[in-house]
Amino acid sequence: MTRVGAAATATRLRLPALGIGLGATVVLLFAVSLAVGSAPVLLAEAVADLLAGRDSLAALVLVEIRLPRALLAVMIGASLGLTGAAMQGLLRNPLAEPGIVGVSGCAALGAVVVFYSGLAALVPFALPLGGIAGALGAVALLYALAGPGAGTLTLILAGVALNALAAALTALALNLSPNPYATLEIVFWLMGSLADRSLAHVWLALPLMLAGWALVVTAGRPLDALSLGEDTARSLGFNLDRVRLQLVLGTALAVGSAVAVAGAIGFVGLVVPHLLRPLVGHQPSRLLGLSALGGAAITLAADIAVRLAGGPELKLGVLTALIGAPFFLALVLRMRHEAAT
Amino acid sequence: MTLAAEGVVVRYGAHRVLDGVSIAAEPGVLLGLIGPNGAGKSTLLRVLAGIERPTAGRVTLDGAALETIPGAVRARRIAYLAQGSTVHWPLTVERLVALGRLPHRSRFGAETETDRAAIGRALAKTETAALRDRPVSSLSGGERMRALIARALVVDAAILLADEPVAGLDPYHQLQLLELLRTRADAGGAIVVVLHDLTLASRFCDRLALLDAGTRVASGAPDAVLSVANLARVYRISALTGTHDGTPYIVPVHRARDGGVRAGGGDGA
Repeated sequence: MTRVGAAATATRLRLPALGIGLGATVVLLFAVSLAVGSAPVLLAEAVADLLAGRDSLAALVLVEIRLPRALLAVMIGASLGLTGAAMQGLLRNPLAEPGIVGVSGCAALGAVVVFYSGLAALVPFALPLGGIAGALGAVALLYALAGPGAGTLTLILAGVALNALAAALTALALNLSPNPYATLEIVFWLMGSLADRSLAHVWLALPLMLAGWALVVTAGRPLDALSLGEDTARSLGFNLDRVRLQLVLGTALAVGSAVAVAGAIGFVGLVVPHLLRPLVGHQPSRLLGLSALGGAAITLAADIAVRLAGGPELKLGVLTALIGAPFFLALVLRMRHEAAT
Repeated sequence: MTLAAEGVVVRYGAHRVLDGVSIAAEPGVLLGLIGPNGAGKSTLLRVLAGIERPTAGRVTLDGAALETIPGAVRARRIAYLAQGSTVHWPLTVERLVALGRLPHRSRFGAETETDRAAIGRALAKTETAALRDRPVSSLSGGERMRALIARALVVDAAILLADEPVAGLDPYHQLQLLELLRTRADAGGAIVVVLHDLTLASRFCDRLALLDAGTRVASGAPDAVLSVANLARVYRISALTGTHDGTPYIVPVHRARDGGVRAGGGDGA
């Protein structure tokens, strides 16, 4: 008993330390991300040039290539970690992930439609804008299918239906694509990557992500209350229809804009909250901020890894899936084991 | 503070779960809600708690319509203990109980001394203080139920609605819980408790309301409600009834064929 008590006290003391530790990791990985790349650029030299106002190649590479990439890794990783924790809390299911309500599939479809129609080549930023339009369309459809009064199960089913529809239409676009190069381009884009993004992508996604984060982060208390089921959460004074809308809209804004600028990057939103949950005593509200930091750290690390690996650059989404899928399998096995004991 | 349901109807499709039920939770009264499975007890409690809106009829808190009261205010006045003991994450008992203080917390404020004191009291009353750092997933069904009872007590609400709180508790803790509810009612609390144990209901409650198929078929003093005729007609049982050292007991014996109730052994039996 004393031993367990001591462990719980340690958990309480560990919380701030955990936040600081993860924050420091993100800062460190951010710096590494700026230093790593195909062009042989010294970080110190580039920063010195930048501060002196010299338009050197090093400074240019840093600002135009490395910085957007590192910033997007932080923003997208944080969005995936945060919304993954929120969806797992809302649905009270450790296997939920941000894409479960259909937003990422629809955002990808929006981008694919832009590719397919040829708008991507004609209009600047048509691609991310198409992705965002797809994500918002998903929210509208979700609300029509599982609006006020509909339960959590309806929300999940609506998400499954939306994902299936988006996948079918994406396949249709690929099937009907007039030339194989366009098909290849779409397929590569769908794999998810942060290569060749600019600061404009950052500015495009950031306001939507900030709005999404604000909606999700303020739902910590109702998520805690939901640990006791929907009836008890209502009896504690929370309007669950509003909480559901707030979380779905927040997730759509954050994840939709992430997919719109980088394609689909899977498993971060599933794995990160899972790894951190035991460290915060399983409390959903405490998990939100830490999962955002954890998501940023893992995405930065994965994006550094794809650049350091030799050969043709691996797509970021491919790497996260390669690491994430076995983790997911291990998770399922462990849950089965726990259910059996 | 009085919570009253008047002519409440709840309909799911064509099925009437509640068909014009009136009931009131009043200060100082421990009201037992009894009836066979499917009588509508849990639905009535959910309607009283403001979790479910009735199809017809009204629910008022001190005369004001319940749905006009803001959720956070309602949550501080009415504590609700749901049926069953599902907890979705393996929180520690202390963190679980702390959830009952959410209605008292300011929007972004941390836990206050008052919150912590209330948590300590609730843990002590339910004898769960020793379990405070244990994850709920490691508890037995009865221990988990007691932790959930502490969660409902910690709200410190004037009105307490409890749906089968003794389910899964051992006899010692069943008695302890009902004594706790009794003390709370004597101190001015308004309590509605759903019970299946008729001995506990007759012994601890001031009044009973007997529901059957969505209607209130009897209400009043326990011995009047738990009459031979009501047990036979509503519960379809015959029972051994009597008193032991002045304490009434009702032991179900047979499913009713003849609708009879055997006299018990009486005092000292």
